[in-house]
Amino acid sequence: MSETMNVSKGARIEGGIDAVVIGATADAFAAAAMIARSGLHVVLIETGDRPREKREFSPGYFAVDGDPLAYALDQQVIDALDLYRHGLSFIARRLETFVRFGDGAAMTLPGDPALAGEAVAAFSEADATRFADFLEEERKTARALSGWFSGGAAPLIPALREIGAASFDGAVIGRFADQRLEDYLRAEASIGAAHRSSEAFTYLALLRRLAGETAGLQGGVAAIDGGGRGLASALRRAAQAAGVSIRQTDRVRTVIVEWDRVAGVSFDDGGQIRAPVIVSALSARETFIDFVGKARLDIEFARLLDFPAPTIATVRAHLALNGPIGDALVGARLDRRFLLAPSAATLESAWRAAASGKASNGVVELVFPSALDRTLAPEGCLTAAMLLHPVAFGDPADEVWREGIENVAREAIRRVAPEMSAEIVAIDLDAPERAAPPMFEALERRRRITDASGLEGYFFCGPEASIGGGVSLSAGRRAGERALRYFKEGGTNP
Amino acid sequence: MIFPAADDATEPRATALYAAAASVSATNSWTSVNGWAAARVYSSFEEEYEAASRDVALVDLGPLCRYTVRGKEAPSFLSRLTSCPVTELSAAESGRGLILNADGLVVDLADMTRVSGDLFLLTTSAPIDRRLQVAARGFDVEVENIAGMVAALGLFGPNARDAAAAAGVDVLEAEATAQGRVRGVELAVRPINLGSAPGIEIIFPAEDALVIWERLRRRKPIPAMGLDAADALRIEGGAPRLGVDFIGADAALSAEEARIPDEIGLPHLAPPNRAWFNGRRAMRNAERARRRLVVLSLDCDRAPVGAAIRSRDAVIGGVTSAAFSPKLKRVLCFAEVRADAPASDLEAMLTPDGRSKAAARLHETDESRLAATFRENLKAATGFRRSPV
Repeated sequence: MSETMNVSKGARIEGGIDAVVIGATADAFAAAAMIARSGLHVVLIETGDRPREKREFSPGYFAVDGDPLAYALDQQVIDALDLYRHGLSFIARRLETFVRFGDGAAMTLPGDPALAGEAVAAFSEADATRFADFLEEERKTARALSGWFSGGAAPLIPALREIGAASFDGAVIGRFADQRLEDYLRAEASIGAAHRSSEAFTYLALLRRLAGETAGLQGGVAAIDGGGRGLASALRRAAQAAGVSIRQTDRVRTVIVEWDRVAGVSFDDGGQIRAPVIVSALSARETFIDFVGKARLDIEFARLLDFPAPTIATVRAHLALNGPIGDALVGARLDRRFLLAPSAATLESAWRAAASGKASNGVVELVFPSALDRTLAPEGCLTAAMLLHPVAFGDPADEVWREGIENVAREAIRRVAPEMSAEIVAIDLDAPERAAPPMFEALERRRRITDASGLEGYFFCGPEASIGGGVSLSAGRRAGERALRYFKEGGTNP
Repeated sequence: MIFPAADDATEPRATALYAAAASVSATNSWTSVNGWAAARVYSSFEEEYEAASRDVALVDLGPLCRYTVRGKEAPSFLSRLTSCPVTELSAAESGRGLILNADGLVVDLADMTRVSGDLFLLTTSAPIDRRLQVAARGFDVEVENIAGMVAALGLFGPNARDAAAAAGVDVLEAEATAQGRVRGVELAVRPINLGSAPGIEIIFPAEDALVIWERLRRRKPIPAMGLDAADALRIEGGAPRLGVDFIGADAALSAEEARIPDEIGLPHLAPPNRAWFNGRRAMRNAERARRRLVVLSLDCDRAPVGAAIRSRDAVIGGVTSAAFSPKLKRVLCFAEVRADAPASDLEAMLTPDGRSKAAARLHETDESRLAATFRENLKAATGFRRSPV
């Protein structure tokens, strides 16, 4: 039985519940549904940032929260929860990528990366076979590593150390006759990543992107119907169908720890929900420091949670355009993904500018949501959702920061579509997202945070449990599986 | 509190009591402990040992590491940092415990004194500044390293309190710590042990070091005791020495080198059923002790550090530190042996070829008695099966 209610029942102590999941993210719903489908009584406390309904950021123009594109949705979650039956659908399964280079040249890559060779032939004939072979080879390696990226044990690949220690520049430079192909791959590897392409371990970021599999296509990109909200709605329905009881409150005060085991959660009003298993999808800091307290955490573990303040970020800008795009190359088909791939030097200078708090041109990923969903813009007009990277981490309330990012966004769309005739009537910025740390660092941090708190029955699938950018659901699946095993084995942390 | 292993500082700093200590050193035999100058022997090992065993001896405790911890959350901070339940200490009470890392491995030994409501004095064998800095994040505490600001003098032996009283330092009552002003000098006095020798520690401002030293020795010239005699008392009491008998987890190159509390013979200082402290969760899940530090008495008269310990023709461990005990008239040594090693038929190989060997017997110390009682109690507390009548 499922229900939606508010916790406002005074100091009530509720028992008979097997697991409590805290959070309102896709991973939280995935974890809750994975546990509940085994017959356990699960309560999901929907707290923290919730995906909002589409919002009108300018009269007649709507933006949808979250990433409109998916690279790496966990197929096991989709299958286990039967998400298609619960409303998950893709507006476009194999989005073409239109790449605009720093010198203004353009290249279109098909939705299926396996067919990239033919497209590259039209751009640089000498590189057609080389590029296709390279991509195929790296996709094979990426496939072997995909379990690791999604939370499993490191695979036994002899070359893993070499791959892991490689920088993007070291691994790719000199592979192709046309250097712009490197720029394209560098843009794919850099987007959302906090490190430079010349740093060790960065090559894994490209492999992680190629390892992603959404809508059954490795390395492909799909557009989810309804974007992040659409995915969240499907997960919510799946969770409710599995019997998860969803409650909305922001008043979770603590996670109750009795001896070394979690025993439930307590609320501001003194009420409690007693349960032997707790899964948190909030940030590591909230999960451990705010809910448990530093005084009950090992010193070394608590130190892991002292993340340095972010400097490099990624920010999503929603643009309202008052007419058709105009540019012949871009405007021919808007149901594509557009990528602005600057030269290595431009990207490096953008990274340095971001690190010193300034706005500059870097990699841009652009989609036109209104081309896929006509309800998002007035007739004849467009909305564009643009991911800008790298940018300085800042506060959207800071006018100087905001103005700098808006200028970069205005310039970026003109560089993707130089002949654009439409005017930008409004720009709306999401809160900046901390760029993903280098892959090995993130993998190690995930391992230590998810395994080392020492609190029995407490499982974590917050943002620090995910690797790389974009929604994947793997963290939620793994937390759900571990919680289930813990429950079935009578309270021994797996 | 036990001195850690000597280090290799080429020019150790002078403790506040160095000038006074140097003036009574006949041997001029010095070493470095935590970067501070420490005397090995002042007059002779026998005289110093005899004084501490039968009368009273002075020890410069300056080389130990001292911190003050003050603040509203000082008790919970120290209860987290060490295995001592500091929140349960009343003002003027002292306690001891271990500092463990998150893997349940021993980092150091710690002595705590609650000087007043939210002011604590923490003494450790080796510096733990970095650990304190990291642990203090998020706590309303202020930690200060006061090692260079104070002088610390130990009086050990059965007549330690009388000697202190004779010098006017008679503020100590029973087992409590006391603070006070004695003839113009602010000082704190607390009870401590140096292995088997009970004693008191007097802590006072560094600038008053010579005044207190002279005042204590005015009525009767109390002999000073160096590290060698202190080491014999330490082994008699069964107190392992950091860096000699075990390696602290922060200094160990691998987890294999570090030890859990049971392996260094101090399980009673970190009971797994005590309220939470750093490393306790890992201790609970840790493998059982694979080796154990024991005190053996050897039928020989020289200290065979590094000698192999054999039982029934099999090597079961080795000697980590040793000293001749004038009281027992034999060598006492710490040896690390396999946890499953038999307690009888032990012998120490005094030469590598095994031609010279000495019979060895387990020697009961204050610490080993406490550890044995603790292990028995733990077993009794967790055992639920009734024995057949």
